[in-house]
Amino acid sequence: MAHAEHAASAPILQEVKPAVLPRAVLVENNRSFTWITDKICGIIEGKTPAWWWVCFCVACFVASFTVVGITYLIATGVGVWGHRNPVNWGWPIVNFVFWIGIGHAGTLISAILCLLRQKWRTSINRAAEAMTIFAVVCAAIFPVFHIGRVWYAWFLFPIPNYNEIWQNFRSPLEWDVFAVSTYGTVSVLFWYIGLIPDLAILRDRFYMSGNKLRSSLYGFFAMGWRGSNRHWSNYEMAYMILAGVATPLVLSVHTIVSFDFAVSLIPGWHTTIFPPYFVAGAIFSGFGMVLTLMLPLRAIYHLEDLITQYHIDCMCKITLATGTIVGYAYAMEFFIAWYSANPYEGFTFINRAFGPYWWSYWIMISCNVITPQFFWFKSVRNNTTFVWVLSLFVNVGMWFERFVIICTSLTRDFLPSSWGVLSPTVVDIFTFFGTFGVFSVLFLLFIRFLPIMPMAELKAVTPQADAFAGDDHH
Amino acid sequence: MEAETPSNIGEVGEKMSPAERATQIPRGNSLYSTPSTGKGGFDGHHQWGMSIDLNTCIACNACVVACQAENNIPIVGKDQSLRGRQMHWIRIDRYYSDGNADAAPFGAEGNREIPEDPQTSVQPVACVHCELAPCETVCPVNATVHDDEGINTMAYNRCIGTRYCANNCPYKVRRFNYFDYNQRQLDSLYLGPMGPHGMPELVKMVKNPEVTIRMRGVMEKCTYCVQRVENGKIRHKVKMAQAGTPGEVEVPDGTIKTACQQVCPVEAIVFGNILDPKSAVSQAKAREQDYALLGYLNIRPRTTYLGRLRNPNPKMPDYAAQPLSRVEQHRKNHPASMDESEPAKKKTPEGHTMVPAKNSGGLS
Repeated sequence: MAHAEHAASAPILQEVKPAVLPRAVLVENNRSFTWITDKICGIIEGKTPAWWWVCFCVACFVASFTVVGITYLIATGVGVWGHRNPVNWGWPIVNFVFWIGIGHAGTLISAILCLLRQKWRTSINRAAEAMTIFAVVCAAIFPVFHIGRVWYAWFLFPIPNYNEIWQNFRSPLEWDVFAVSTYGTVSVLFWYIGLIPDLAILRDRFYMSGNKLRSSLYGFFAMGWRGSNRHWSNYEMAYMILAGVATPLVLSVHTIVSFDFAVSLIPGWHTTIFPPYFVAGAIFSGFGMVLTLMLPLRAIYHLEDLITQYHIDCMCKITLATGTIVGYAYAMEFFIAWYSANPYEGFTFINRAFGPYWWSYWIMISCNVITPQFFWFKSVRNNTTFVWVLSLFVNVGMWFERFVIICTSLTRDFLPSSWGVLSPTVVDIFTFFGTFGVFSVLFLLFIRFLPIMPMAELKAVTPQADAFAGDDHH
Repeated sequence: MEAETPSNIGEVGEKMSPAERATQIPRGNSLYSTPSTGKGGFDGHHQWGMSIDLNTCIACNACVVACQAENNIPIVGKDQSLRGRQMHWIRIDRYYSDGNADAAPFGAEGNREIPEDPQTSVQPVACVHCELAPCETVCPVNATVHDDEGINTMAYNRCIGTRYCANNCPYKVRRFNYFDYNQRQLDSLYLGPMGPHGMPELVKMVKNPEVTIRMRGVMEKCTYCVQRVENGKIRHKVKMAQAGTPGEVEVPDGTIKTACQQVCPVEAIVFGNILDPKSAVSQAKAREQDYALLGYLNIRPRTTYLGRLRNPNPKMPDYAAQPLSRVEQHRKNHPASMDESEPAKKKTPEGHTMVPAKNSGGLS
């Protein structure tokens, strides 16, 4: 019928010329498989660059602040940090949530984007996963050491004991213990499984070049990988299963971290919006950190062919989307505070924006809501330096978000007689500063000794790996 | 606030007396039931409760000192007090007001400055032993739990010091030992193990042997003087056994007194068994004035307050437009000195506002 009508009427266009929209190429300049292997293994095999040593020494020095700060804390007492009566969680929990949030992008990129077949993830997933693990390490420092008697931290685990005391499974902190440790374990497993084929490449290359020690070290962790068909099929199955396992964890970890606040009854914490809002914020901060780390790495190692402008575009767009969700959550919190007609809730939010900590609130708003809006513009996304600067603002903003949530709610809760202020001590500040050193030390070791990109996966997304490459009709 | 928020105990629960509520619906409509050796819930012979009369309280702080002596509460010193780390289990809250501040919600101009001659409303606050205690649900290691007589107890040995309970306490009555206040000297707290260690002999003699001395990193708070409660119960049991009636385990009203109650010069604090309708505390709680601080949170505190009253009838001799301020009290109690105090007040018009200012100035 439709055909017949079409044939009857005159054609609107004389000739149909569909626009040719080329798919974004994920590896540019038509690089060969060998080039990719040489490029990525070359980073490990080459001489340790001078800048690496400089950065490593500086990072070790900064990390020592955390070591010294924690040692002093254990020897002396939690009082060396700036806690006080109404503000029983101060900087350490802010830092914990901050680092856990950063640790979100890795698993999101590797698991969710893997299941969604977003091929652009391949060039950034390894480094992002490493970032996740190191961020979880930094995050774990704070809740462990902020407790009063760290030598009894094992009480948190259901270990059989003489008194037959169980943990309190109603406590969100107990959920945290399981959520964060599961997340850490699965992230490490996921990262390691992905590394196996690449470790085998390094094993073989070091064997060829005669470095027996390094060859056997990489060989030990490659677990006898020979690249057989059977290995690959098992590997891909294991990788998919882990991606499936890790996907709910991406959502669950920060949901449970948000329960630490949402389940309590403090005004400003006791809200149901927290889980989605925290997850969006975590992905936002995670991508901020991926940009902060990957852009310099790309410039130093000349990885422009592997981390293309398309990759940066994708990351900027996710940052924009999640940043806008976070902005919506801020607005919705205010709306609900008014709509609920709860005077405590209403006061808390007015106090956030205009109370003694107003500056932290407005830093948060400008960094988290206004900054990502620049990513609407292609010219901004193309300007790598500017993107990097904006990613720093995202990191700062997300730290302040957690500061605002924890500090403004605890300093002003129900009884005005128990209001207080929070001021950090020098130990607080240096311990937090030091965790950037811890993170950098781990990350520098990673880029020096492990392949920063999954070589096998990268090869699979090159134009020449595509059997239909050059064929416009696919 | 309270009227706006529906209670979660249902219509039947609303009509119950505190005693019935405590025993019959111990957890409200919560799905969680208190683990217990008996029927479940609060099934002890006694259900402890407290009533504090805000009319008689004169904020003399005797309760604070008595509690400190009874419960081995460490002294933290000026520096730590400034950092908000006092350890007192009971505190006296002060709220300052004048007529202008009260008029603000009704459209008047209100008050933006410290009142010249403020009325002070005082309220002693210690742990109120909520039946649905928010601190208990959040402790990851079960270090703070209820006993079957309704006391919110602290298992110091179990506490690892996450301080989540203190955050979730709406009354902010939980106290954390940030340093080893008992073992270390106040002037060398920040030296940690480099400073002198151990309690001086004289200080050891001050301590109450009935009460644990808590170490650092442990949360602590009012226990309703649980050591006195247990002693009272044991003594009563022994006495009844000697008298040949071992079944009568219920301690007579007034036998057990908490430290704060014992020293209160105006007998504002009453403690006892709320299961016994004739006990002083039950009778106080039955009065219409009785109210629960932050009761709208549905946490059902065992300590309730008798609201402060004044006579609003101008024709009555004890008429007061506001709770009396210091100057008004002075005028009322010393009518003869009124003429002398008036010119004195004019000479230093800021005299009364200087009192709080001096205090804070001295501390900072």
